[in-house]
Amino acid sequence: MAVTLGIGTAKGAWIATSEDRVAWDVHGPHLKGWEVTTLGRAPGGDYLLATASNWYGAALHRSGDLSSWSQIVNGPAYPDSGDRKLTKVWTLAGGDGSLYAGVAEAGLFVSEDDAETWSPVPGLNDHATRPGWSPGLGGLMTHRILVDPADAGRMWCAISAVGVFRTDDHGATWELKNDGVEAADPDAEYPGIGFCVHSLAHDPSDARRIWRQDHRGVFRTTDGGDTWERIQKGLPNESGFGFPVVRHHASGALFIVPLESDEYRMPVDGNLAVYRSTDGGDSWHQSGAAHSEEAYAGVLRDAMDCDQLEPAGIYYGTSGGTVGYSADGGDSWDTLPVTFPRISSVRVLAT
Amino acid sequence: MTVTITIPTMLAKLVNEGRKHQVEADTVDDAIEALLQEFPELRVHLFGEGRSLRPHVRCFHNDVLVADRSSPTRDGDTITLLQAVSGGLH
Repeated sequence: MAVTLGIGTAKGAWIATSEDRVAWDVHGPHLKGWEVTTLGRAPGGDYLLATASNWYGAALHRSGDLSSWSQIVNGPAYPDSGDRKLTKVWTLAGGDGSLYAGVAEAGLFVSEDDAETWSPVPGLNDHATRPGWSPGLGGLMTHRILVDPADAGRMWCAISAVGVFRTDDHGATWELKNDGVEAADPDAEYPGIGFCVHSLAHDPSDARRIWRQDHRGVFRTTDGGDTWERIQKGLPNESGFGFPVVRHHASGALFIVPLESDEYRMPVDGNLAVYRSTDGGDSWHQSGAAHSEEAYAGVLRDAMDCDQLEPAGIYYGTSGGTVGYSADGGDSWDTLPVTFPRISSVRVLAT
Repeated sequence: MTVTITIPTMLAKLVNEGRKHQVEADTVDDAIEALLQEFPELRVHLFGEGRSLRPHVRCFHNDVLVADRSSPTRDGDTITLLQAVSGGLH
């Protein structure tokens, strides 16, 4: 039942390990002083983390032992000849030996050699709607990538504030898939963009089933994004606003963290709580939280993850630097005994 | 010409090295390129995309802000790459 968590913060990364999901050993900071925007694994097994800096830009680093890290020299980068600047790596996702990186300024990169070298994916980066893409409050970025385990040629990318794109041909061409979701910032010149998707989670056994935490609420699709329906029964916020959505695949349980609205971006009435759905999103119920007193910190889109053990372990990090976790599927919650800098990412790196 | 080039603490830690490095170079630009030959991972942090130093990285040659990196160097010169005092977001 051992779990290894990566915690990315504004000032470095920490690693939390536990043999029983009760007692935790926390070590760090790694890459002290650098913002760590996300963490993941390379196809060959190495651990990866992404750094960003207002002064020195973005880079990927790898480690075989979660202790010493070396920078990947030929990481994702836009061509020197263009106007685009790569400021952050927001997400890493793999499939069929490939590794993908979603970045800001919004784009997608792929590595076919275990994260050593990277190439842009022009079918998405130079999409016909690209001149109309505009940033949300968090920037203009590709922040979530889903790969269909049954067909690695089928993928979904979430770009804020543009929308969800799907490819069925290994990234050669991409179609916008947002029907049924309200646009946050419709574009007159490029109809079909202006959707502010915040996060996605899918069912790997049927990747057409996707759940979506959007700026405009919580949605799901059962047809790979061709149509979406709103699913907010039981949520405490009429807006449905929030950032992460994660899924425990064995049980099918879904977890989100509702925030009051886009104006406030705080838990409703200071009740920082994870909401759980055990019926595929038909209804939501408060699962609880590690914070028993009033808490007004939020949870960012990459800052919640779920292990695939039984029962589920759910982990979230807050903008206030605390990490809450449940080792019993969300029935009870506790916190790690460390206050970190602002947390941008919490990823389950190993179980 | 032997030139001593100094890099910011954050970048020195990144490559697990000290801040001062001696390189052979005839111009400021050559000196930086020689540094990057030794530590290629620093290129993205100093330049990003393109050939201009990042907006918050400053280059001093013998304590004078460099306007033209093609300026010649002499034996014993110093080049200092500094993190500009800026920011505040975090």
